[in-house]
Amino acid sequence: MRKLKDDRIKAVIKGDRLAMRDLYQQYERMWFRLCLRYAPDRSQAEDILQEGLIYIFKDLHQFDETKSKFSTWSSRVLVNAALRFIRKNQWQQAFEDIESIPKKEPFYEDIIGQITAKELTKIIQSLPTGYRIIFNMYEIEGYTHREIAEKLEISTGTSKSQLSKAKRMLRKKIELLF
Amino acid sequence: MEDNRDDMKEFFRKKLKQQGEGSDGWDKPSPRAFDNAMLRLGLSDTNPQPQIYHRLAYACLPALFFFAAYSVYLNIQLHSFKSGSNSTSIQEEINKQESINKLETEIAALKNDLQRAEESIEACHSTKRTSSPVNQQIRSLHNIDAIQSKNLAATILASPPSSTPPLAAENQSVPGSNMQEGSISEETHKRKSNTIPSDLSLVPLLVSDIPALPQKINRSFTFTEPVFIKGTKLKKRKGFDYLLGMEYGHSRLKEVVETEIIHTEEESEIDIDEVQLSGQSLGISFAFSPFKNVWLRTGLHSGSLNFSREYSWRFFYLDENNVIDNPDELINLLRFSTSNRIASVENELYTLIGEPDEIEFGDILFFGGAEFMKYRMYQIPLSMVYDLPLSKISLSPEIGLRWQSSHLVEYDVEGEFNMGDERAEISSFESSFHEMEDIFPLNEFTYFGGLGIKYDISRRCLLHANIQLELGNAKSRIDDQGLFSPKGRRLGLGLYYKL
Repeated sequence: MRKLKDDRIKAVIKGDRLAMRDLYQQYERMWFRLCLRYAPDRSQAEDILQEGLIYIFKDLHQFDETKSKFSTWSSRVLVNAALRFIRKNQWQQAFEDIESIPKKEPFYEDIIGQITAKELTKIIQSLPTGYRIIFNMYEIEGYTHREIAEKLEISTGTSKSQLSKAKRMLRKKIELLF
Repeated sequence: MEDNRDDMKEFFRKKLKQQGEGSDGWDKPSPRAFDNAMLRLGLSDTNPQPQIYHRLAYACLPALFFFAAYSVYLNIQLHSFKSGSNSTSIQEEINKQESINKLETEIAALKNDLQRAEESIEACHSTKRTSSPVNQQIRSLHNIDAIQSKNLAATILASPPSSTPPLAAENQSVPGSNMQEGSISEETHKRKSNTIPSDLSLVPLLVSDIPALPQKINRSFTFTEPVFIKGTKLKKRKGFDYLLGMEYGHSRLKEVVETEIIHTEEESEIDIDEVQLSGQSLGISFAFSPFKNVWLRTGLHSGSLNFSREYSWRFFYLDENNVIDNPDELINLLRFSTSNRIASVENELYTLIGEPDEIEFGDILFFGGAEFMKYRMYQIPLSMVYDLPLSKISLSPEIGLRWQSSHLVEYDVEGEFNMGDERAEISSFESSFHEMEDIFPLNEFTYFGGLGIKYDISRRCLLHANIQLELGNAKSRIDDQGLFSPKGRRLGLGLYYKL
């Protein structure tokens, strides 16, 4: 199994279009879910996926399977693509609605338990760009605040405060919806 | 607290990983994403089409040259054939000239005879003074000689003889003539009966009329000989028609420009724009017509192509890009590069931030500016034009190719920085530095087809206006753009002189 996977990646590196499609079909849902979380809508998520695919196929020779799994590596590439895309298109609005967020809101774990992945993704999509990015990076992808600060070129303090505000807004939205 | 946070993180992850076997496909992207990515990677199924097109275009190139060479060869052959036809005509001409010379010799001999006859007449005149009846006979003799000359000339001219009144002196009795007169009369009569046809008139003909005869003969051959006229017509069309003139062209071309904004050594973002280039060219053009209505046109043109564009970028204020960083003065460096098919230009823009305390790491800066590029270009077109004559105007469809060499000669950028919320005062950049890298001429072939109108201003001058659609085939130097074929159009106006 391991050998087969290696062969396919080698084939992709050589530019084998069939191998690329094969690899894409295996990971497309996982990749697209990631893109959906970073994008405000489906259309932009597809744009991010498109950008990310280019980087994945172009930079696949840099992938070292002894250091990480392909899914982890490709997710990182897609996150970078998402950040590039957002920075280019909507970074200006990244910190909107900051002041409108209530300072403290109760978190109803029983309510969130009823939400499906699709609904949760939609709620995350509705977050302002800056919150959405930091929330996704920290809570879902598992980046540390230091890594986020480096990636987004902000301070760790900013990252922490943005995450806190993002979670508060997320709770608020879940409350309103459910 | 920490446990709670970890639980929540785990909860979200678990929740988001729920595949939902009976999913409605909400997490499945449209095929467009993959197809577009393949297209941009140059691996699309549709990508080979332009390559096939370019191969066909390349195949047309030698075909066009072959056609031009073959046309010239055919015309040389045709020219030789026409020369052969002319040599036959010349030989016939020589033969006629020899005939004329022979006739001229005969006429000269006749003139001598006539001269001698006149001398005889003069002698008779002297006799006339002594005898009046004899004088009458002499006059008759004079008429006889004149008739002889007239007869010869008439033969040469092949003109029908005029009505001939009977000779007045022929049957006249000469009363009172003596023995001497009788002997003269007998001699004269004898001479008359030997040389004078009875049906000829006695119209006097002077010797001075004779030199005009060869000219008349010559002219009659010149204007009546059909072979000679045919030869003259062939000389008028020498085989080729040539045009030499000046041509002005105005062209517009679409080009891809890539800008890479370099945030840090590791991170940059790329902005790709399609821009419109406009340019002018002027040069000499030369055309020749190997066949009727078919022209092969070439020339040497030079000119320039320009483009300018406006842009607006966002980027982060990063401490590490500060060139000068102290409480009073802060200068930040923004780097970006602009690349196209011809050249890559590295830019360094230095931003003076007036209130350093107001700006923080990660703040968003905006840069709005404009960029200007100018290329110098040289062109050698080669095309085939077919004329469809409509009185003084001809419609001229045209196909061809153009070798073009262009290189970047001028670049400029201007603009200003600001922050979205105007917290810090940021001046326009104090200075900029452009490094034009890899500046070398881009040589390429452009294929074109078009339609023109020719107007004959005079017998020697004509005006030619045309519009052409162009397709280039140079490979883009921008990595992820692959083979980019610039498309454009060109308006040309030329004034030609017929050689």
